[in-house]
Amino acid sequence: MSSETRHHTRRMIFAALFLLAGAALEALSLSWNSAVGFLTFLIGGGGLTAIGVLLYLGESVFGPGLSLRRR
Amino acid sequence: MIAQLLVLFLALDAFLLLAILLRPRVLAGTGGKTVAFLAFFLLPVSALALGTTVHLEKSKSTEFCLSCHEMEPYGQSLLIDSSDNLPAAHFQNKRIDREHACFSCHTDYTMYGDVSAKMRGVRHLWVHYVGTIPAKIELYTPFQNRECLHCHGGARSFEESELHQDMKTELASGETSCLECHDQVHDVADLSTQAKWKEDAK
Repeated sequence: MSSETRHHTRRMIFAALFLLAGAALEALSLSWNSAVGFLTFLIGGGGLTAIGVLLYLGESVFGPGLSLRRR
Repeated sequence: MIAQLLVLFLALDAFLLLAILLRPRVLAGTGGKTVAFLAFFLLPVSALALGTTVHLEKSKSTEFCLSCHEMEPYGQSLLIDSSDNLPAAHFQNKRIDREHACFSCHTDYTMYGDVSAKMRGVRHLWVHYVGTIPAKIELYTPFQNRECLHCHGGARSFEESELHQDMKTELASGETSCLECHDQVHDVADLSTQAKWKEDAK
């Protein structure tokens, strides 16, 4: 595996982890009907999701591909 | 319904992301790019949009408004045992939906009134967490008759009231405020001395 491929693979793994964490926070925020719930959703969940999506877009647009497998 | 759809999207996205992390070859097979697009873009972005809708809807609830401690006295003022007290009479007689008591009177009944109300809500959050909470909480702008007349305009109790007959034009134009006569509104300063209504006891 080339260093470039490893780099891109790591970026996709980070994207997945950020999105999972964002989804967990978004789901958690649904149980609160308060300003804290709203901020948890918007800043916590939204922020992590935005980072994950941007990492994916960076990979899919500028990277060599989407596979996590050895290329 | 939207909340259930949101939970479904979040669960589906989490499942796909875990599958990708545990079995990376999912992305290499036929349709790998489609799966990635779903898991990394379409589902998270859709969930974010749905979640925003859900939370904006929740933010209209009385429970949400009263979740900040500085609003507690205003919530208690809805229980003042007096038919002359405007918010209390509206709340206790179900003239407004109790679940959305604050929002019913404090939104703007205009085309983008909900958006304006939400922007004020964001300002409230900023003041609550970052700014300085004023000793006396006041509206940013004077209360508009439009909000009262949204429900009362055309209602028999309003239209046929003798007291309203001479000032209908002034009330409609906002020249005379409804609050000039109906002036007992959220008396939080005298809250401890006022008798409270207990729904279960009656």
